[in-house]
Amino acid sequence: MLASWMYVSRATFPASDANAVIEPIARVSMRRNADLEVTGALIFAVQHFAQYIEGPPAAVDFLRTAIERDGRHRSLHTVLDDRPECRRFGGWRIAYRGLATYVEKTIVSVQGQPTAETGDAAARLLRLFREFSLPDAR
Amino acid sequence: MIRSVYIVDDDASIRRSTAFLVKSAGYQPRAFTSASDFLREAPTLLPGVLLLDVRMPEMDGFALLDDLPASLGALFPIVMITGHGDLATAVQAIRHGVRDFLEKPYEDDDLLGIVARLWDDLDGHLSHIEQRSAALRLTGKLTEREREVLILLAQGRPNKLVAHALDLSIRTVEMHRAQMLERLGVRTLPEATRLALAAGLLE
Repeated sequence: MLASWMYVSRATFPASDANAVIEPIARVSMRRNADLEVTGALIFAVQHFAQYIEGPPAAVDFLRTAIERDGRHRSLHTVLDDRPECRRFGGWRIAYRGLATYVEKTIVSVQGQPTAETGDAAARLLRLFREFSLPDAR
Repeated sequence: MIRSVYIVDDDASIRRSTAFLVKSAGYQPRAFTSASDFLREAPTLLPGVLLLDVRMPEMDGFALLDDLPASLGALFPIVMITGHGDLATAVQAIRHGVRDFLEKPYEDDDLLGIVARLWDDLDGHLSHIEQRSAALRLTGKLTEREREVLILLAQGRPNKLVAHALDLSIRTVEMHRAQMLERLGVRTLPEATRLALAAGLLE
């Protein structure tokens, strides 16, 4: 059985510290998620995070508890919380990190929306993750 | 310091209004009617933010992305602007190095906010390049031996271990050390270490 969780949140650190903060997140998550058989993607745009994770329910629960307690972000809002039939992602990676306000706006637009997969906002955010994870077409 | 903003758009009224907007915010605008005009001049232009229209006759914005040499990419952070954007196009552009994507019609403040953020980032990048080339200039004056001594000392080794590693006497290492500091124009090892780091000698 699989569980998934997707959330958006706001960074608590100043933009100038972004590199120093994201580097260890990438390092730790890459290893830990592989160990837990968790796949998905993380996006960090300007001042906002969005992350989708999926895997064994116990592993997703464990990560969710840790992520909800993490002081590096606040205003965490769950966008999706479901039991998918099969995985949406083949591995875990940082799908995007940068200064694009376009990406940040897509994340922010989801905040305050109802938690349901059918929600347009959730679908749009999932599409954002997928577009960043597709094999390069050009 | 001049903060340039380059505008590439085939529409004259947009070139005019955008140039007016960024000029009023303190930037130095320069408009191009086509992507190829910009590309031709790019090697001689000062670094700056590039506002690029996606759809233009002849060469569209995406073609410019492919033709802009990698060495110039970091000097011209690109904002792609489009009247008919969609998520897939935006992500495709960003994955190809575009730093931000803006849909028309947009608020002036949105554009100026993006330009300000990218210029801050560019400032950081330029000062990093500047520090690196200054450090390379200085460390380039060192002899091979002095460079070896600098690297080992910068890694935190005491004179005695440096002497051992290079099969030299401690006295000789002290001499190279003094000569190395003098050539770099610094007085202390921490200052020399910062230069070694900036020059990439410790990578």
